[in-house]
Amino acid sequence: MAFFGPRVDRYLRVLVSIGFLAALLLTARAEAAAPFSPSWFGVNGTPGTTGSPPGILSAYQRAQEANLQWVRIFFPWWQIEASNGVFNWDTAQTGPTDWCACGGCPSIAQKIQAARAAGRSIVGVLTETPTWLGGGANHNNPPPAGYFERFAREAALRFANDVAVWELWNEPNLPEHWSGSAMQYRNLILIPGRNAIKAAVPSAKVAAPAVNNPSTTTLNNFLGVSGGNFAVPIDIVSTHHYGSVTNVINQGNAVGAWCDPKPGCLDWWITEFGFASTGCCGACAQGAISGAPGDDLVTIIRRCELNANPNEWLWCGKAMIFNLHDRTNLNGSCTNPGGIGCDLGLLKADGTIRKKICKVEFYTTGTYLTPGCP
Amino acid sequence: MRTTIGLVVIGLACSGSVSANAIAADGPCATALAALEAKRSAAHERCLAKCASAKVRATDTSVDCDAPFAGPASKCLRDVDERMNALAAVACEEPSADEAAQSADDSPDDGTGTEEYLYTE
Repeated sequence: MAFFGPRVDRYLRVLVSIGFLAALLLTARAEAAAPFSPSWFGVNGTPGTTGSPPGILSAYQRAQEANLQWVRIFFPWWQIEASNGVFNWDTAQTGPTDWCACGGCPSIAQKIQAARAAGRSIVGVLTETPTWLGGGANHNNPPPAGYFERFAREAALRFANDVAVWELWNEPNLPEHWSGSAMQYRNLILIPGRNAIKAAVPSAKVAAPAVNNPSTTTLNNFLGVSGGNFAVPIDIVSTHHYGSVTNVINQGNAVGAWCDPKPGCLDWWITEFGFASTGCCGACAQGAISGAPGDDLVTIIRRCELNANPNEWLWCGKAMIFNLHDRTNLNGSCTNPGGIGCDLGLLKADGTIRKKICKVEFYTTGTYLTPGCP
Repeated sequence: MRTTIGLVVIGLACSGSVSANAIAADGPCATALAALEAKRSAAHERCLAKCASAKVRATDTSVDCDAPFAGPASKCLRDVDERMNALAAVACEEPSADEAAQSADDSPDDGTGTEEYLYTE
């Protein structure tokens, strides 16, 4: 029925149609959030070695076969924003701090694309101060105020449909990763980074502080705990744990007990844990420190399982194995890895499997899908 | 259903069932309970996510996560509610002098202290 005459009515119909289309587009954008798997199995995905995009993709396919549904990927700020305000998401990365010394490394965009193609949910780690901001040789110096939040905002917007969780820095309690104080971390990274990400992409989740083998004092200091809340609200408390299986479990129990009474501690993820293989980093014999290969990893993953221990809900929301690959740079080479992390991988430096990925895979899937597993 | 559970938690905490010296559901008590409700909701999500994740495993295909309080997640959900009720009760009680002193342990430092780490990567 035409209330305003045929011409006006036609205009109204067009306007209404445009309105519907706009509403549909807005709805579609709002629903196009990054994948967020309910699974608690994950792996740190900093594959390098061959350095080619096909090599990366095959590594993420190994994660897919092992049902490691989350991958944690570093976003090295110093390489992405090599000069003021220019963000090179598509520029191939170089070593040594991103573990891509062997023949270079794909860009961040290629890594993200490959992880998504393999159906993975993604944790992005924003870390490492650019040289032009005084980051120093190890990119571990605190940046001047204002720059990190711009980087965090740009990353969140660029990968809004790909990265579900943004982790703010990596192991800031270790001097080689953060030369500043806990207070500087809170004021220069945690608070501005969280606020920038939430303002840009409200659906994105924020994890912090990714501290290594933390005491409860360390957690209090880096999160600014006061009255059970933090200096700024975050979605996930993230921690890293290494050492023996017993040490990891004891530390986990301590973090769970720390988190328990704090209203601000909504969730807790172990974003790194891992165990070295026996032998060396040269010949890289397969195996684990104790027990059968991979038993140590599965022991920890099982702690996160439903009904696995008396207070299972206190234990990790996610557990991410370190690492998908052996580390290849620093003191070693592509064919003869060396240095820290050279024997932590589920895959060797050349991409061939270790037995422990088979053990993890059998736990997570009940079968073997990875080529080479029994 | 979860909202109902949350309201029950808050209702229990701010009623006479908590303790004789519980205070009214406003001010610090209400603020604390709102925060605990967010924590409870997140913990419930974690219980259900772990249930769904277990279902992915081929060995656990029979897991029924659609009936959370009758399924394998039920203990986890009940544990969470029990714990949140306990925390809510504490939050709505007047702190004693000892508790007030103990809470000072949570205050942030100036970031200049040194700590020992068990292991460095």
